[in-house]
Amino acid sequence: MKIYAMTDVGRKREVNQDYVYVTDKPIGPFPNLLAVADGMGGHKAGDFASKYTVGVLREELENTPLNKPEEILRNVVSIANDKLIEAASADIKLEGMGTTLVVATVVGNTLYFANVGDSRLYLINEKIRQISKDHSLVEEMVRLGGIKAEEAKNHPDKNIITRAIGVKEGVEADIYEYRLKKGDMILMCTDGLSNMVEDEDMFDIVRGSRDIVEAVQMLIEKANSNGGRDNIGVVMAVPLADEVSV
Amino acid sequence: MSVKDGIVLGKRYEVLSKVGAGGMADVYKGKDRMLNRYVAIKVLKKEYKEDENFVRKFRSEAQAAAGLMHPNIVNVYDVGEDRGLYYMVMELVEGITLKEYIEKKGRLSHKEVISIAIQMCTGLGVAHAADIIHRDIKPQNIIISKDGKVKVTDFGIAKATTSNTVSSNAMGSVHYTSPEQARGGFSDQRSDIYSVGITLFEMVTGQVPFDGDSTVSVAIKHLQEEIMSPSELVPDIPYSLEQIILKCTQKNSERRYRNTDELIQDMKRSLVDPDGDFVAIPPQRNANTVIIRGDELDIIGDAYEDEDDFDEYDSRDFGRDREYDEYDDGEYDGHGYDDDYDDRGYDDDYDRDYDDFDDEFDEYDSRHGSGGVNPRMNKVMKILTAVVIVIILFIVIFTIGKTAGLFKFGPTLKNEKTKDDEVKVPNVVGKTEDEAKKALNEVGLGFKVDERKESKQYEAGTVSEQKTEAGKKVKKNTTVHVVVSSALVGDKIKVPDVSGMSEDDARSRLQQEGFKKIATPQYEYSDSVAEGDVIGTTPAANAEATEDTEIVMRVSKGTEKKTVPNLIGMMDADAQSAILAEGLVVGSVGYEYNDDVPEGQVYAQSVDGGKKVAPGTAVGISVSNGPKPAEKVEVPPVTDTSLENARQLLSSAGLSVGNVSYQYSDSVAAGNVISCSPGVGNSVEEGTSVSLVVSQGPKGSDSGTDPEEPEDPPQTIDPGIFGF
Repeated sequence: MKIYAMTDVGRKREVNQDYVYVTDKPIGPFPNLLAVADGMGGHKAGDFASKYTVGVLREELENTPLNKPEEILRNVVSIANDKLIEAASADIKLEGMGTTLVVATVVGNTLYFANVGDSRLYLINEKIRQISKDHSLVEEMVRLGGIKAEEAKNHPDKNIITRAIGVKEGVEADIYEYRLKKGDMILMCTDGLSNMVEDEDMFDIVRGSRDIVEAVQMLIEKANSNGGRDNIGVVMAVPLADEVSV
Repeated sequence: MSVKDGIVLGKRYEVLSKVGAGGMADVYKGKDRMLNRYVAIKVLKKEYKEDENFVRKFRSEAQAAAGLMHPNIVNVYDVGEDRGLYYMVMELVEGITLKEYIEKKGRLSHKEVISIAIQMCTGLGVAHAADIIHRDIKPQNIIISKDGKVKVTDFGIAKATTSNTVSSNAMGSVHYTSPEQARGGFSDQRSDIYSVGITLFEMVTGQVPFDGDSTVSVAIKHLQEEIMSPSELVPDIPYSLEQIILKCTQKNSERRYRNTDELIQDMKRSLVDPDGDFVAIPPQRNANTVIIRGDELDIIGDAYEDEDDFDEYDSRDFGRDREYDEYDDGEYDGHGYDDDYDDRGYDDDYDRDYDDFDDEFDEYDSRHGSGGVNPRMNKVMKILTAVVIVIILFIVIFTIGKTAGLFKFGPTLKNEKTKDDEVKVPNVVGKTEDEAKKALNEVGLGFKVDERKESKQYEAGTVSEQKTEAGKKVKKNTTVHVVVSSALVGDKIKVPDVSGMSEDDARSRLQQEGFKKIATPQYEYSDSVAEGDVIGTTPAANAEATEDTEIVMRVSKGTEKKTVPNLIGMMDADAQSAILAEGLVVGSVGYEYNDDVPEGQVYAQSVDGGKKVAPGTAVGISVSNGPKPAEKVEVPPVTDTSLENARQLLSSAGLSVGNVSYQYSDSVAAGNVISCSPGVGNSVEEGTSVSLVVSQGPKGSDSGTDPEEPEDPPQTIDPGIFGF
């Protein structure tokens, strides 16, 4: 699998609270790992939260006794949540921190991933599709029919998320399992990209790039040229031929 | 730099001690060295100072708020930045928040509610006059000071938007948010009025009308769910106060009070005429629950895509909806009471007495000092009791003023004991003699024709004048004297039949015919005429009239809604009779096992209790069959089989896997299960978790070495070129 990841502070922030992590080497039962996290909280707390959470995931994956990918994901995310809460209660400077998380692995030709918060996972092939569901106030109101999609677009409360790691005990991650098809590319990102660049533009940029390195760099550049109001974290992965079903 | 006690901000404000923390800022008690007074200093939290947009908004709105000075506002003195800290200097108010006060008292008395709300709205009105919308009115932002003043705080800044990701747990309450704010649409002073309405509801009932387990569910309720009538929780709430709350909390902002002045007027009137029917809520345009017309919302939305809501606010034309304008003008001008009532009757006396009361308070303070149990709380209680006394005093003054002819018009002050014997005089002008007599007799009033004379407005045989005004409350069996027209003089016009038309169309039709005086419509329930359409007119269709005849349209409010009873906890049969008793229909009745609810008891209903629905609506219930008898299953033979196999065996038996631990074993092959707990063959309840012990093979055979943790920097792994 070809993997590339990058994060950028953006144009308006002093601190980068987004964190990305990728590897194509096995971690515990997982043959590879992709993660993006968007930290929130005070000065040091937000970037601590995103990085620490991914660190806990890696550690827990190494030691997990479980073997079903979806169970493993559910389990390690729940442990990461507990540990982040613990860390926050131990240090007053870290109080109130939290993070979003999308963590994924490709096993054979199947993509497994877990999502908490409003970072996203897209699949790009003939078109672009958001697979993860945002845990945000505005998106949930749209799903429940309270407001229309157009109203959501410029809603002032778009930044409010309804689930996060490290905020409340017993957080539930959405777990997804997806059979990859020929030509599928995985794009994971924080809202610093998805709020600044329209889905169609992301699609055009990825399609117009020579490779994922260029694609990721162009996506970040586009987010910045559109204003770069938030930190930007992007992960892209393209499965090899033997990793997809035909 | 971080804030420490003792530092001095802007070379002037000394930070003394932290007194609180909000979502966006920390609050300190401080001292203004220049003016030598104590102040409150609000310092923006660090995570927000990195957001340039937010800081700009914080500053500009704080500066705007700094221009407001009023006893019912926590005044902002100064805004500044020092060594990277953004701060706001405010009046230091000692007291408790309205939220705390409600929590202590449970529910507030109606007079107390109105007293607090009038002060709150007065402060809010000052801000609105300066084009500042609060956007976060809630009891937590209302402070009752030690000296009994009600003050609104946190103007403008509370809802300054940020692009920082924040968790909904950390964000403020949405319990008071207007539907348009929940929708992210255009918000204006009427959005604040909605929040005032929710706050009123909470003061009266001790609870918020829309609650739920998540921010999203509460927001959705603001958008979709009809508010419960406060009288369902507090049956003795005065009718007018309930109507005020309902008018404030209309989903469509056009149907609320347009400004705080209108609201204050109705609240003042509610004090002297608690059961009066003077709060007019315009009917819904459509029968269904469309809240804001979509096209309008789109226009509004488009106009607001530029982030700064404030600047454009002014240019909006509030008078665009002609119908509502006319409705409002007609309503208040028609009564012609505000001016005298307001200026002479209320404000002066109220304020004067209020001041006297302040003095009283000081005495109280010095007598009792700081001793006693929770002295601060006691003080506030005492003060509010005193406020009520002041209001009663005011009512007395008002009554004296009225009898002395100071007031042109005022509703009759009511005596509680005679309440049931009083009726409201219906309007009979324009009705035929027979109709008028019937209408009066129906409510227990007499009818007497004093004289018959020519009228320029009403045709022969119809009432042209009634001596007791419509809407006035009088004792039953009172005779209403009327004048009946003997002939209509002037250019005659026939009243057109406008029944079945929409209110707007009917109005234009009447105007076309030449009628100049079209009164405020009367809104009535009707089963046959659609909501918003005209039922009929007085004088009736085809009657002779002149252009000066006053035409009163009767407009349908739709079918009278029924209130769904709260059925939870009732026994099955009782619940079904309760549904039928309300004129509703029993929907599907489901019987299910339920561990928490005794057999035969209702634990869920398809329409929430308290909801208003059309008659004949079906209400389904779920009835408990008592706890489900636990199914017993046997633990399958999972030993000496692979862990994976064991898992499948357990799950197909309806059991779950508990702890999995590993042990060395000489007899059981590595990866196979050695034992389980509870043991194989045991009979256990379905869903029990079974712990497994798995073999690692004989000791010493563990050949696996821990692979070194690959240290992967979070960047490029395989920047290989590939074609798309």
